[in-house]
Amino acid sequence: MRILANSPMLSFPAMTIARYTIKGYIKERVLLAVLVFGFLLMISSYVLSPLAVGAQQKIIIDVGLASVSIFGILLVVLMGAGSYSRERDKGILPGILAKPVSRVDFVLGKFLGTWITVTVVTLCMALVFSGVMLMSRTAFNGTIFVSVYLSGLEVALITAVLSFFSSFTSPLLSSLFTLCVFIAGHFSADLLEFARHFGGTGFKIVATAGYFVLPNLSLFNVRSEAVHNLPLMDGFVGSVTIYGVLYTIVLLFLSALIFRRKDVT
Amino acid sequence: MNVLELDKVSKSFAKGLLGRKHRVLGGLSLQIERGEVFGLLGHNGAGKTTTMRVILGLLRPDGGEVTLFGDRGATRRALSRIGYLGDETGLYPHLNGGEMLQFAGELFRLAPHVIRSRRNSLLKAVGLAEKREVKISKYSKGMRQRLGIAIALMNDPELLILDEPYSSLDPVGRRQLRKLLLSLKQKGKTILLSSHIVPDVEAVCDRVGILSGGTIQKCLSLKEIYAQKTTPVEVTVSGIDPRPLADPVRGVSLVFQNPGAFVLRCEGRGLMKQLVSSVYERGGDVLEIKPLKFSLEDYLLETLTAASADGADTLATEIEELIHAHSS
Ligand SMILES: Nc1ncnc2c1ncn2[C@@H]1O[C@H](COP(=O)(O)OP(=O)(O)OP(=O)(O)O)[C@@H](O)[C@H]1O
Ligand SMILES: [Mg+2]
Repeated sequence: MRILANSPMLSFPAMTIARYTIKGYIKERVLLAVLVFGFLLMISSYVLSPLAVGAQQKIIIDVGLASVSIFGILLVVLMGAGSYSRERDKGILPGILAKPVSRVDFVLGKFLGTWITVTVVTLCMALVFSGVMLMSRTAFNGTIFVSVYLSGLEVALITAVLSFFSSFTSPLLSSLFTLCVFIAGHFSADLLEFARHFGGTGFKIVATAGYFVLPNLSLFNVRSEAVHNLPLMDGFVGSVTIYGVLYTIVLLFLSALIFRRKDVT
Repeated sequence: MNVLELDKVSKSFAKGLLGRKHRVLGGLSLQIERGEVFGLLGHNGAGKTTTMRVILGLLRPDGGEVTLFGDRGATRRALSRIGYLGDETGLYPHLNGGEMLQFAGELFRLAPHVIRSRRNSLLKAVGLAEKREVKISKYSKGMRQRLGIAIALMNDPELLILDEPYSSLDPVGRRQLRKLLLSLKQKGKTILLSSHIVPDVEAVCDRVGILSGGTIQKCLSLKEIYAQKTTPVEVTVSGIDPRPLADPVRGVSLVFQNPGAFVLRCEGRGLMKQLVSSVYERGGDVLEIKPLKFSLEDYLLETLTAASADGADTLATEIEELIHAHSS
């Protein structure tokens, strides 16, 4: 609690660090590459989808929403880890922390900068996606917007996961672990279900532990509902939002807690 | 009042994963007064950088206490009064010089107009005014060092901590930095610096600490040393055999002798005068009179080779052995 008291959530240094983090990302090649690749994928879904007779609109929605989500996560893992490591390598971190900037400021600033950048990219993709939908006269439905919104929330959570791992492991490992959490998080619910039906006791315990420790990322995936224009449960979006935000805050809190005890060289 | 106090600070690093500890600082104590310029000397790996990082709270000491401006530890308040130049300058390669100073100023929460005016004057002071629009990735090493110095001064700090500030500067840059440090000293700033270039340390420091074996082995006040009246003098004599004049008990001794010339060492000027007049009385000649200045460099080398078994000298012998092994 003292950490929070010492550093108001939106303290100046954190915002400064966020701004300069974004500045750093803007010059990244990965950003451009991912953007171009995402656009190409969406455009190609438009060009190629007539091949699948009747399913055109479904394919466009599915590929578009998947691109919006996956490329955001990919950016976090590829670009975010690079940004965290650059600060370590070039002696930038000591320079920043020798100024009146607390470690909490740094963790928060880095998180905000990364999340804002990736969210802006996600929104750009969503815009292109809308263009493709308009061109192909695909009908919009409310769940499509929810899906894009949940992608942004998932990006925040995954950025917090990266921040957590970066607070104690090397950049390469934190990238790798974050990717693992992303994949495992999407399957943790399925895995638990599978274990309940078919698994032994040991497997059940592992699957249950995984389910409770790992973020349940399948909650953020409403693509099939969007594709088939199915209604979502009442209060679903609200409770997933609370879940995502809480999970993110807890991870950031842990990152700060670990990072505060680390030697910085 | 002491601006900085270290009280029995110790720090070890884990060697490898299986926590065997490598002790770098072992009970280091140090006090630096307001307005004092303190030079930290020591061989490579002695722990100068580590000491500075502990002071700034970048490294957590295993034991002991750091007091800055009367407060315990590197608080936000203390850090806003400190300027730091690290052993790596720590610059974002994608920014230019002006932007980097802007970033530093914002982290210190300075007002925009203060940032603007300091940025311009500091860029000029370190000779980078023309390079302010150039990306740091295109800077030379010395230019980065200069920018690092400017950043350290951005908050007009009361305490400056400079880790090898002279490194990679050209001769002109070194002289400029010397002047800069002396002018800061005149303004009453406190400075802690480390360096391997002894004359640069000698030129600006009031006190020098020799770090070895994890503590400050010797602390010398250069002011006191230079104020000493009895500096020894060497006198070179020819034409006569001056050995009868030597009197080690009183402080005149023969140091060196070659055909035709003798070198005698006198402790103090009075003895020198006596010696010179007796040489002329006996029909001899004085070829040279040379005051022996205290050499910090010699002193440092003596202390370091005495204190450390694995210092620079063993490295030199190891290299020699390697060369031998290759040539035979
Ligand atoms: N992060 C670290 N992890 C492990 N060991 C370290 C770390 N930082 C420094 N050391 C060790 O601590 C010792 C002191 O290092 P330090 O950098 O303080 O020396 P120094 O006096 O600044 O040397 P130099 O003159 O080369 O700059 C060295 O033996 C070094 O190997
Ligand atoms: Mg060093």
